[in-house]
Amino acid sequence: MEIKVSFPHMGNSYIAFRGLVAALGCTPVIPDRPNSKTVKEGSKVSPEAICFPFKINMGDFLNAFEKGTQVLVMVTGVGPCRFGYYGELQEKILRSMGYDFEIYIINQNSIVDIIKRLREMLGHKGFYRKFWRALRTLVNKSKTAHMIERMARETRCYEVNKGETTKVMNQCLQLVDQAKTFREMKRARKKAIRMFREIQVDKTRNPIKVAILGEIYVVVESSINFSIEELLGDMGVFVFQPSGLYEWLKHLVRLDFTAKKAVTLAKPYLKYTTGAKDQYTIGYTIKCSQEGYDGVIHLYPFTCMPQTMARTILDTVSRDYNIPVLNISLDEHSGEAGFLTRVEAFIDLLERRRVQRMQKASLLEARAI
Amino acid sequence: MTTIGIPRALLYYKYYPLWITFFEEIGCQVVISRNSNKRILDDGVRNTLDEVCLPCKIFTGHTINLIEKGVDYLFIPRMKSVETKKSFTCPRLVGTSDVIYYSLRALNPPTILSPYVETYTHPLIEAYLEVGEALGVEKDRVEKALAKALEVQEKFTHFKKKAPSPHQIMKKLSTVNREFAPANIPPHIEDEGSDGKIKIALVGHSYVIYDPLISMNLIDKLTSMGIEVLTGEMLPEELLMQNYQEILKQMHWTYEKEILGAANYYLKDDQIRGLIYMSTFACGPASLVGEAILRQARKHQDKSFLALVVDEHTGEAGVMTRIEAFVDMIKRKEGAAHGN
Repeated sequence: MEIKVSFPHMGNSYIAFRGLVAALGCTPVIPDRPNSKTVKEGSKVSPEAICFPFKINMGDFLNAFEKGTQVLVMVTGVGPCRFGYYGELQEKILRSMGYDFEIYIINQNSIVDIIKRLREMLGHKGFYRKFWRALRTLVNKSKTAHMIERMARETRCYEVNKGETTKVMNQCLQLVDQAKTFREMKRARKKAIRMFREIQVDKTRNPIKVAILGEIYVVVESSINFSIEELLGDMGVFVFQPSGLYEWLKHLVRLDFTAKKAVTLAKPYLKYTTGAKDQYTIGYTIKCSQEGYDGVIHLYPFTCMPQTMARTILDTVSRDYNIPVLNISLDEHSGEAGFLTRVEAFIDLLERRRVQRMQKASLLEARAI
Repeated sequence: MTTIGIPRALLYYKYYPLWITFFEEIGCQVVISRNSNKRILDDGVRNTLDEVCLPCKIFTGHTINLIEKGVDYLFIPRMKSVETKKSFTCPRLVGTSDVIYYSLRALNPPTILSPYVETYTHPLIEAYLEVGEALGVEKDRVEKALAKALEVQEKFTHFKKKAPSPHQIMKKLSTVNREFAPANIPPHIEDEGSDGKIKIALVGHSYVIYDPLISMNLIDKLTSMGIEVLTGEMLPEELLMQNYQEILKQMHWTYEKEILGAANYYLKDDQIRGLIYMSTFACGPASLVGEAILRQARKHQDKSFLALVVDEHTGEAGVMTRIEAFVDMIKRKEGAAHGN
């Protein structure tokens, strides 16, 4: 029997999850990329004041039901943040709407339970081999997708032909998505590196460097944050963005060393985490300031509890480390034009700031002579 | 004498007997900020991020009030967890002391005593020893003070359970009366409620429903309409912990467990006619818990349910109209049930 499995979107993580589900022998059903319909329908059935990702998840689930899925997968947290309760409340709402489905709510506490349930569903024979292969696929594909995204961010500001990087990135991601065996995945990775090398670049430019930090979902999901990475890249801005599925997986097995360093930096400002990577936001802001970045764009869903804590403290960090920070909260009412205006104004400000600095430096030099 | 300032907001409404007794036992003078008023609200709103909840804004206002009073230390604990098994309080309560320090840096706040309370990994005494160390008090004295303080806190909990109305609790909270000897507890007048008075349950965070400014004296208003009000704090802890799981199975927020437990208990109680859930705008947990309670309330068709969400812009007249309509609705239902 064919089992149709669906999961909500988070940036390009669908590639890795599709691989995982397929490796387990089920049919992955991917909801449409979050769009205005997703947002509208999701908001309609969600609690009014809940954070934005919840509403989009709901929209994704509804879309998945339209496509005939029977099994839902939801990854949640276990911390003090609202993310820990997503799955349970979503299940409640969807059931009260009359849908019949099975849901796997995955978090650190339920993982053993989930494996047992999966084994029941998929049959005991050869289950662990299949499961191991699925996990390897997940890690492998998320790693490659992460690499491709990073290369795209770092190439886009240098490209000579506008839009070439985005085109190459989409082609590469498609290659990874289509790869079935591990050999194909390896080949896809090598091909991606080759394709990115072939992009014509102008390395003489000295682009403005900006870090995008904040809550992982709104930072990663390009359809929600108005493709801010592409937007900035097309404006000729070098973008640094540390979060993503692969980083999150590394965090689960405690191998995220750079993030740990960032947390250490954040300790004097926020001693204990309040959840959802608020210390990362503060830590990476300090790190970026030390590494010579020009500014930070802080994105978070409206009323996100940990990030609003971080935001209050970011004002001080910004002053102490002399790095401009633009805070933007996003929800279903965010308008693209307003968002664009703010980002453009911020980049203008950074450019002017750099010019002023350079003038000051040359003036001082002249005086010294 | 060293003065310790405790803002009259957030967890003050839960733990003030503990905190006050502790500091007095180790030989400090405790200063509590004044009752919430317009000025405190304005100060708070001006110095806090617009996206946090109203109690947090009021908390900042109270802290400013204490700074103006010139205390030597501020006491703002980081309450991560207050249960023996893995659980959390609200994320905002963990970060408050850091946020207060950095948002009020321009006002030169005094040293903030912010012990880290996470009772499922560290025993409570560690947090208070940290405070003792900062104040230069020897270990024995801290231990003794904490034991005494916990005893008083226990008495306060006991008092709340026996209180005939939330009025008594509010009175205690606003006058800082530290005597919780069993003799002081008024006799439990259980039978008086059944003389035809309509019983309504009011659930929500204690710092919302007991703060006269945030709740706009909701308890007083309801009582003056001839209604008997019951709150979640008047129920025993075990009852709350038994009841919350029927609404949401996995709950890690301690205070939300209490709210859910109280809501579920009162919904099942036949004597209760209606349930009011009061929360503030931008309260993170409330957005989830409110929805869960609403869904549970729909299963009890005989009970009326009112969800009140307030913030600093809420007009008193609007709230009043809604409460009056709610009470009228219950009264009409009651009349229909009795056939007139």
